[in-house]
Amino acid sequence: MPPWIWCSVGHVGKDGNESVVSCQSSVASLDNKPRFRVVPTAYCPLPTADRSPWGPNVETLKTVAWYVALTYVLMLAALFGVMRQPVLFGQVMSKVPRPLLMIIPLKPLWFLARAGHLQVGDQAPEFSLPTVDRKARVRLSSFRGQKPVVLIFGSYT
Amino acid sequence: MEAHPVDAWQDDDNLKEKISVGSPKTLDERCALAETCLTKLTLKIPPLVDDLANSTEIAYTAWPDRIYVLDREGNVAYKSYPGPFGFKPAEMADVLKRVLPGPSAQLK
Repeated sequence: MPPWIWCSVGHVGKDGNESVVSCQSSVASLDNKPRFRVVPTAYCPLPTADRSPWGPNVETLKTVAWYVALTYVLMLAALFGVMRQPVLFGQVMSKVPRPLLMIIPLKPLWFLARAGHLQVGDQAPEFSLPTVDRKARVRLSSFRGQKPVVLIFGSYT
Repeated sequence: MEAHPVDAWQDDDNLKEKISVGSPKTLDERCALAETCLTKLTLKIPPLVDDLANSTEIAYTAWPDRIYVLDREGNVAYKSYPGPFGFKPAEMADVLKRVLPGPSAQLK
């Protein structure tokens, strides 16, 4: 149970102040000692340690802000996962409202999600792919030891 | 694999350019798209087409676009950040100057 004070008011002076004539309290030293002056609006302040200086609305706002922040982080985590799956990414992004993209750190998230495992200095993975006319196949290893190779990945759209 | 096919995330720039392409379902469709791309963009680069399982894209984390430079031993000398943000041909050119055999390499 929080600390409590019960006071009875015996006199209201001309200046509006009231005289406290008796008190009962959960704190023993306050019993029956008229040491308080109470404002006539019946406002009874709690002990400082138990009182929020901002009032109860700020606590509500803090809770709301916490849930908004949590939702935002979860959204980023979900988007990060989707970015790692190109087919799914296209389908998801087609449904995302454009204004939402303005509050997402798209570029750093994109760089992180699409970083891949291949690093500078690693042996390039082998492939053998057909030319556009499908009349020949090109094997990457056929260039090894001969000349540098540039790989430019892309698509029409 | 297309970046902005009509059946996924259609891009406004493509709409302005009147490019309306669906995701290819067969290798023939993918090759036909690649030929269209070569023609429209007047590319001179010899193009190769990935398989429908996108195995090369997966190995290189290449989608939607990315640049690699491999040295003569087949090791990665340069890996761009993923496009479109990280697609920077000028960086590739700088690396190429370093890995291509030049006058200094011939002296050795």
